[in-house]
Amino acid sequence: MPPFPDIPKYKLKKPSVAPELSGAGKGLYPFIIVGSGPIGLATALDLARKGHHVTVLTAFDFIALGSKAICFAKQSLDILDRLGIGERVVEKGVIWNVGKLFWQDKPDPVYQFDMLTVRNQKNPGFVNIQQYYIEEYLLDVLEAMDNVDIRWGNRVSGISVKSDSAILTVASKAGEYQLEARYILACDGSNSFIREAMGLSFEGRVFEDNFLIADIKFTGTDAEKRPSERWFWFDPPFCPGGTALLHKQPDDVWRLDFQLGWDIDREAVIKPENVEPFVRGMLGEHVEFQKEWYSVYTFQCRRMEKFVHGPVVFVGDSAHLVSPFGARGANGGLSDAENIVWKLDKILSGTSPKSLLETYNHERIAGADENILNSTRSTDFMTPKNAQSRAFRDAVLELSSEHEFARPFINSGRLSTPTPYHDSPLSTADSDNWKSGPKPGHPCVDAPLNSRGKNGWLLQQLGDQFKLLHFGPDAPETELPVVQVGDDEVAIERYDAMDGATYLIRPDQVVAARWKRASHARICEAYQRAIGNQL
Amino acid sequence: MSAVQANIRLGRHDDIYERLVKMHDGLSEDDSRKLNAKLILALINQVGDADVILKLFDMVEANHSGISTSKSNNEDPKQ
Repeated sequence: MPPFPDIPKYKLKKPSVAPELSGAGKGLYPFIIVGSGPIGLATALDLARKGHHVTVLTAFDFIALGSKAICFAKQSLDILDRLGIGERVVEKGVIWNVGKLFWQDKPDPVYQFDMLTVRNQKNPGFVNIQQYYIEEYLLDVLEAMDNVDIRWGNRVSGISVKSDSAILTVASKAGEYQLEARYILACDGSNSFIREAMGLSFEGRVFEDNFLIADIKFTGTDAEKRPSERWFWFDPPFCPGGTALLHKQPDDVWRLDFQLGWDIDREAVIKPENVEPFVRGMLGEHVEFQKEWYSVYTFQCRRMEKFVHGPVVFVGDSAHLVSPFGARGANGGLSDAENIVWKLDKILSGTSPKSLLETYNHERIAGADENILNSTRSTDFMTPKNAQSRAFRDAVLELSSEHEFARPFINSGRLSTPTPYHDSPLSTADSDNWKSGPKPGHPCVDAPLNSRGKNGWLLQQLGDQFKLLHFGPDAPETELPVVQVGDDEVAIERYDAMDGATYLIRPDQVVAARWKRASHARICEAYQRAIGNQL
Repeated sequence: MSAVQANIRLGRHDDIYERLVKMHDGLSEDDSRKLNAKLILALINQVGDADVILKLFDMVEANHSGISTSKSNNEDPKQ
């Protein structure tokens, strides 16, 4: 029997035979990534693009078919752009900006919102695309690289952590072997083997509720007629007392999500004959469709106390779990990946001290906590846990159809936005007077750039290395590469640079420092702080 | 005379909502009701304008009775 018979497969991969089994192999590897989900592969690609040798270990010998994560936020698209697959993702994906909220059987939404509040940026607010496409696109790039070794069907079965490295025991069809690496990136998901093998705690809150995912493909003639909008219901007739969600994906596939409550027969609910009434209840009696992927899930909000444990670093779901409402799982994980990779790169190249790794804890725990807070609040609004909280929830909804003031209380998921690192030790505090623009610790804002022979977007120009972003004619003396902006009005306004300005930008496109009048000395000092040399 | 403000006048809705709901954790139904009554009385004083308060009562009452009526209509089986 093939391994993982229960998991539907999108693409099969050939199980790898490790060189260690024939006495070859590299000895001490720089980086081993455990897990071939979107976060593991993005981490691998980011490291590989920076020139490092990367080994990926995965128990799977396939890309799984389930759509799983489907909502990729603007900041993730920006990250995927830097990894070289962003445009492919946007082209394949379904762009959406509008969300509508429905209540009970009322045909008109009680409220609707627009996700992309700042226009004139390269990427849209959100793109929906099945997780397996993200994995496939990342793999297409990774598999063409000489410094990447992806070992399909190679499952980690043991770990022994030393002070400066870790040794993994790996089980594969061809045999068992050991691998040593300076850094292990545990991207092995919510049930992380590495986390459990190391006996690390994963504290948090379990929500006693079940949700049904029905990903269906429209087969009828009216397949394309529905708008690409996020529709959310509170207490609809087809799912009384619960919530429901409808989202469009590429290939005429739609994500339907229904809240089922706690006491259900989890095996029975995903049988097609039991899913069908929900689908028809939401989309109409006569909708023609076929099953793509049915699944039932519960969720938890948890995180590890620390994400860095010596040479082992936890990235994505292995480090923190959130409820799916708000699209904060995969999006949060991609932000983890790009935060850790540039730091590892600087440490391994000898530019930065090892203590820089601790700032991944600091910054991404802040990110995880914000994601957990928001998704917990959404869940509490959607699933009131007593009569009084239900009364408040229903009062908000009743008032909202008539009165604007009540609408901001509606919470059907606060959708993922990048987390600012408010008190990052890598940031240099402002010493000038700023009216606006991204503060130190905040992510850069995109803007069109057309002056000085550039034709494109600001974030694209910044790339994934430390850069100086300078507005005005005379760039200050610096050893760093400079992106100089001329008379691009939108960019000048977004960076509060009417009278000139200079920003020091990190490889993850977070502002490290900014000045109205920069000098070589100030830039040097802020750069040393940003790479961890003043920790 | 001041008018009722039905537009959005503040931020941090999620912070406020979380606290509002948490206040009721572990209370009996009677205690919850009394807590809400106290909150309303305190907010009335904070608004500080009897005309506005009375108009606000009218506005919310209209919304409440309107919804209740349409709700009972909806209970009739359709189609």
